[in-house]
Amino acid sequence: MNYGNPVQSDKASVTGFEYRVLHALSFSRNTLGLLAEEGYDDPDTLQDKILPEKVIGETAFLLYAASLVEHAAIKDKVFEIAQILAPYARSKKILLGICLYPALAIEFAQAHVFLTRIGYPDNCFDRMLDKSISAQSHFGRERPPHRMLEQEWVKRVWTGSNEPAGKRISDMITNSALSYPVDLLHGTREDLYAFTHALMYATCFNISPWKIGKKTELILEEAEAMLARCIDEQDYDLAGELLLAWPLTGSAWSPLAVFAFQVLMRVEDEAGFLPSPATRIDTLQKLEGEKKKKYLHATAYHTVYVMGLLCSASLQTGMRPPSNISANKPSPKIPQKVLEFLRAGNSNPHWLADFDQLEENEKNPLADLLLNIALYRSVQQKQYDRVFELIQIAYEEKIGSSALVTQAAELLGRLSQLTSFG
Amino acid sequence: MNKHDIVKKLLDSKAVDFNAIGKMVAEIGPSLSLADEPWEGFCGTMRTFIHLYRLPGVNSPVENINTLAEVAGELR
Repeated sequence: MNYGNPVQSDKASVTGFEYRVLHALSFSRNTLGLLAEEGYDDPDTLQDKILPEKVIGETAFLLYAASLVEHAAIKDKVFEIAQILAPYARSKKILLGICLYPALAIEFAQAHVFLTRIGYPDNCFDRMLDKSISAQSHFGRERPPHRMLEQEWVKRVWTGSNEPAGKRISDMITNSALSYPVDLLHGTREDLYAFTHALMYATCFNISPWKIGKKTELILEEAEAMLARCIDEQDYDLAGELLLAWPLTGSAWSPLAVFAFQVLMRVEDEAGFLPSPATRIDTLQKLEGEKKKKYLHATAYHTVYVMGLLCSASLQTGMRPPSNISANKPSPKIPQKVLEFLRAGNSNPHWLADFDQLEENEKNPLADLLLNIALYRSVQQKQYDRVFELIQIAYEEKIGSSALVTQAAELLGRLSQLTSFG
Repeated sequence: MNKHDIVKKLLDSKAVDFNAIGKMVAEIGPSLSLADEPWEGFCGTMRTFIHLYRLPGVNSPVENINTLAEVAGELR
């Protein structure tokens, strides 16, 4: 296993993104070897149990995304790992699952479907899946809108359909986070996931996307606000998923998104993989041999896959982010007050080191990012006087994501009404 | 100490009195079943009365990147 620096050349080199996809694929090969049989459940660690079906399904999704990239070495690697994945994806246990539980048939069959689309069909599984999703009980499980969209998307991948969304699917999109403003101040991680996943499924990972309710500008504006929070909290799993919003909507990268991508790449280069807070050093140091490898893969594989998905989507759509941060309009200077606030306290997030290394002309286009982080932090700390100050700065300097600033202003409005109750 | 040990220690400490919980459920269960509260199940006996949470990594950011690289690098 080799998790050395995934990228040997500069951070946005010609081969950099392809290399990152290959790196994620290599990690997935090892993850399959360690976790595809039994999943992960080690009482000696505090890591939650991971079912093998989750690992198998997510690996298949990564393979599918990578297979959409026109690159010989990536295609070879996808072929190599598909061979390893197929017996797990099409085991008797999975076939039995599709047979016994029609309401969960798509979950069980997800890896089979992706393998089929990559070029590895299996008629026996197709026939069983066909029968199962025709059963009366197939729709017998209630799911939130983004999970309903996932079901429809997997079916679309399976059938290769490019039909526009009918009323049923349009209703799912209408009821999802793609049609309503996300709660940018107090939304949970699950709320953010609902947004990123709905976007992945509704855009069908850029293969015959359905029409999305909200305007692309609003989607990206909300993604920027959430991205600022995730980069500041070092939540690189969600940050990577949010960055998918740009390639999946075919939009030009904003300065904030380019910078966030650069932070992810720098962290990946230094750690050898894109880490998540779940991987704890003290646990790693206590474990040995196979147990240690399993723990590392169980805690890290999802974030590593997200980076693979992000780079695949960027390559697939010809949407590689630029290597330099530049704005297409003159940027206001970053207000000193915002900078002072962000540097105060003990927090020393990774992004701050990257920011400090930028040239002055690259810093100013990031005023939105800095304002967003300062505003989100102040709301979390319930420092409402500072929230007020930051909203004033946002309006005066025309910086920050307006969806976030508006929600913060509404919050202050509600709080001020609260005071009238004594 | 692993998670099974934690549960065992907790049980051994007798900190949770299951008899007392059972008695209390028997007393208030019927009225809870009829309570008009929107967020819970409809049957008192199906409710969760005690939660023991394990919250690993709460507010703990990503570990030191270089140490992670070093420890993960040993797996090469």
